[in-house]
Amino acid sequence: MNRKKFFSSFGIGLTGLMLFKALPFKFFKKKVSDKKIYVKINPLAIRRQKIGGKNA
Amino acid sequence: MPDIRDDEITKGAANNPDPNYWRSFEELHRDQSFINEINKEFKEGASESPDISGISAFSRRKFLALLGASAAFAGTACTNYRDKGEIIPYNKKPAEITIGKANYYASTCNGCSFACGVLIKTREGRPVKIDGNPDHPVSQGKICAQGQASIMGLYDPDRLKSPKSNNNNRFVDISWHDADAEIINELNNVGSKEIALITGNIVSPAENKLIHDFINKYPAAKVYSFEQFNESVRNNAWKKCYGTGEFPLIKWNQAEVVVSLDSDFLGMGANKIENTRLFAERRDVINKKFNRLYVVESNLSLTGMNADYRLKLRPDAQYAFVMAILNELRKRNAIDVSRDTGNFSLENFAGEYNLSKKDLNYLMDDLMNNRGRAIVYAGDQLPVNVHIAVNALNEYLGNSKLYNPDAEKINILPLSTYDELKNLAEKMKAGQVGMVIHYDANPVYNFPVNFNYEELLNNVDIIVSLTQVENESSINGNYILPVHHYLESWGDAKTRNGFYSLRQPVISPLYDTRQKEAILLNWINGEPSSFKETVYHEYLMDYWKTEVYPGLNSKLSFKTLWYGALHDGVVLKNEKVSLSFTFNSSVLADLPSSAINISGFAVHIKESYALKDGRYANNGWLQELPHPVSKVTWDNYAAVSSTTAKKLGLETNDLVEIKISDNSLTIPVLVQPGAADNSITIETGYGRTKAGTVGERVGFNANKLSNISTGLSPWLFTSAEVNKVPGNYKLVLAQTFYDFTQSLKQDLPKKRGIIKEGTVAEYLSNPGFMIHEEEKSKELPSVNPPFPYNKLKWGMSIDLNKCLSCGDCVVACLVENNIPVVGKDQVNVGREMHWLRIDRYYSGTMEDPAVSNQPMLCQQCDQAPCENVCPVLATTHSPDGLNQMIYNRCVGTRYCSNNCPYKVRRFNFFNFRDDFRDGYQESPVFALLQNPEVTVRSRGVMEKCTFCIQRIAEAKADAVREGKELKGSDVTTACKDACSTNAIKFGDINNKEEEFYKYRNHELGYYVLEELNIKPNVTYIAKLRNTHSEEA
Repeated sequence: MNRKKFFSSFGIGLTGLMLFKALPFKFFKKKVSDKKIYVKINPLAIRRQKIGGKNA
Repeated sequence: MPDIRDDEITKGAANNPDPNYWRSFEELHRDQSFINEINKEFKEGASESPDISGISAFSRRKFLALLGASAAFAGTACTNYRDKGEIIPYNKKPAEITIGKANYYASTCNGCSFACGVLIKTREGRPVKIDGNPDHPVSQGKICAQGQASIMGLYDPDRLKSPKSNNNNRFVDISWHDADAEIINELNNVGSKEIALITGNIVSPAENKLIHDFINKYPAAKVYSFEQFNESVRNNAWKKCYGTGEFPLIKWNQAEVVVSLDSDFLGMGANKIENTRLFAERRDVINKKFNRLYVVESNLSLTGMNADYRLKLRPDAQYAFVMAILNELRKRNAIDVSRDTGNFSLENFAGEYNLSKKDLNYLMDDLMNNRGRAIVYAGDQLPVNVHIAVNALNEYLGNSKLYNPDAEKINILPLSTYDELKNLAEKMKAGQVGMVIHYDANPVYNFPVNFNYEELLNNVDIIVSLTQVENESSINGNYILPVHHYLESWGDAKTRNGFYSLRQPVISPLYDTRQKEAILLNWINGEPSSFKETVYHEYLMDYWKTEVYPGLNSKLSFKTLWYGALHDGVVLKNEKVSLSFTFNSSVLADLPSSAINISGFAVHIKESYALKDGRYANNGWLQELPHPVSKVTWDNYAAVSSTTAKKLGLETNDLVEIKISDNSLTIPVLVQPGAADNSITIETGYGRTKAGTVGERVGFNANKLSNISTGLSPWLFTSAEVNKVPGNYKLVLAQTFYDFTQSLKQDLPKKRGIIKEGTVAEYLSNPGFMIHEEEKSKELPSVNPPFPYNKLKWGMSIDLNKCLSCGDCVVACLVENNIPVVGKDQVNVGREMHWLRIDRYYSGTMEDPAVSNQPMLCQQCDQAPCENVCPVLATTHSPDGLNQMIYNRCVGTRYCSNNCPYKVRRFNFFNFRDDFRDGYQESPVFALLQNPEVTVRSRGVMEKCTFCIQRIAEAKADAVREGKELKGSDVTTACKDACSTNAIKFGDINNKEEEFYKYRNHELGYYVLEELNIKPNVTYIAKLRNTHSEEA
């Protein structure tokens, strides 16, 4: 295969790959917020030592 | 090879004295072509030069290139597998966290105005489970299904994440500063117009003060507090009868006889947790204490299912019924009433409404023989006259002894009356309201339809909605301000005398939201930039320091008391009351002396068991929770009796149009056994148009009929027209799958001993009436050798006398064990994933059925038939008696489920998290909801109840670490924790000292399908109906 053919095949393949990642599944999939959620303890909350009645 | 000449072969053959051996016909017949062939050195084609034109154009290089590209594609396709990120230990571990161990925080639920104390379990900083706070004096460690499921609201992907403002009918993001600045400007420039603050029931003293501070700052502000289902009619009647105060709390545990008139006090209402606990104390097979429950109602309710005697009666006839009872008691000289009580006759009434005279006689006898120990209780939705008559009846029978004088319900901010709300509507119509603030309320959905509230909003200049999720009220507004979930919020609550409870945030806000009280505070301060996250925390502490702490007379410093209160969740206060109840008999003179003219159909609108007034519509667990009576999921319906259905030519799933004055609703019908004729019951909370991904367009909006100007009460209507309309709507029921027309399957529960029942009289006269000695001694065959469980062995008992089939245990199990929501379509084909279900059996006739309920879960059989048939040993048995499930061995043959006689195994036909609502449960925030102690199962894997093995394992590890022996009482299952009547017991079957042992070996205990000899470990305590001894 000559160099031109190689790079053109590679380019087509790469384009196909990008399209595959975008279409068809993800295009129709409901967009989910990508915002990262951070879990942070509230530092002012008081933890309970025991969980039974009257702290037993 | 040298040429072999033909003559040499012939000569050789002729000279060879041995027989002629040949290997082929060609050799035998001396075929010339064959001879030519064997003379060549190489076979044909072996030595010639290759023909290039014949070779495929597909070269080796191309093949390898294609192979590489395919591998790259395959690798890309697999990148859809969700990268869960890296698990790294804390760089700076917070002091509170021990990795792998849970933390617990006390707080207060805000699901309803009962404000139950809760204990929130967190793992690595995020809440994963909500249970009751055992130190809360009222809920005492229990919480309802809504409280359990409310954790889903924290991680709801539909939660608003930032403030929004309406820009040409499109909501766009706005910063808090800008939103506050604009709103404060509007508040200051409202002029002579009113600022209407519409809220739900306020139970927080600090919040109440805050609202009054807001009104002081903005004198044009007026607060309207509204709950769609409330006790306003009951309290109104109480005031008329007793002059002051509110309807008191009832000492259900001291009542020998309870008469419930269209009151679902065990299934609904804010007091449900306390009511069920107290009521179940008198359903005690250990101490042999039994009350008797009469229910007279229009539709079969949860309370009705548990009745000893049940009569069906349309709700608009209840007044005449109560007056007839009064008159009958007068006739029997049982009570002395100086006032005229009309000419109601019980005998005529019974004839008119086809009520059992025998049952009515029993009722009269019981009321007369249990004065001061019986209670007649009318439902919240009945008209005021019924309540007045019932108050009078209780008073004359001396039943006011069961009113609790020591416990007073505290009403921090009284609910607005319907007249006040009507007044608001008129002001809005006249353009006199400049601003409306929906303070975590949804009046567009919940207000009575005759208010036309949504239309009236067009006359208001500025509409601000403070809400967690977009709703029908917020989409009409100018600003939508997202508020914290209660697990992210500070607060307090006071619902009774004698204690306060506190709410603390267990997690920092997940999004850019603010606590609704903090938003108001910021508006009071008037300076948008002055906001800080702790503003309401400081306000709350200040309030407690100045208003609450002095009254506690505590020796501790305020800070110490405050931290102690946060730790415990409640603060007790010496606040004794002694309520007195002086009846004003002149109120009887105002009662109608004859029954109302009844025509058409009665329509009763009730709140939904699962969704309440619609606030939980976006909660998939609650939508999928089967209705306790009908077992319908994901929809509401119009419940009608079979007689009414026949009259109208209706079957289940047919559509009807219900018309009340100008309001109409088209809704599917369910033929409900036990419903009263000519009476229709509809639960509201459905039919929401804006509730989130899960809750929108589910069910039918019954609020379209809630016209308060036309009803006997805001929820009860008479003279309705009902007509069948073309069309069909499939209601999905979680039960009634099998074909019961086959004779083999009829009366299966009775024939196979699945349900065993008796009467109290039978039991008291012969406690062993259920034990059949000949059956016990019979040796049943088995393929399995017995295993001696000499050490700790887990077992469970379920007392069917206490089990009300409320479903709180089902929801607790869903939360604890990461059970996915599957959706209506999958429930329709029997694929709901509930590990614990509550089977409901009718017996008797369609018109007057008796109901038996039975929670069914994996029985953890000693000789489990599911274990023998697994081809990959994915289900095994542990030495402590558990039937174990190894998810990653399971290949999904479903043979185990096929073999299970209880049908308690649930198969993941799909990855339901991905399948339901387009991956709603696959949202990254939803992953935070999962309990890390329980495997999250994927497609193709069988699952079932594990007796909360994660809790057993944790208790084992704790016992080993502490050097103690593990006891059965060290472990509680999620379902046991949730059950408000304590019907479920769990523990070690071999430990005689445990309370569980008494139930495991009780004379009323039985096993389901015991004759199969698979030795289940769940003992059911047979239900006893407390009927009169003549019926035993």
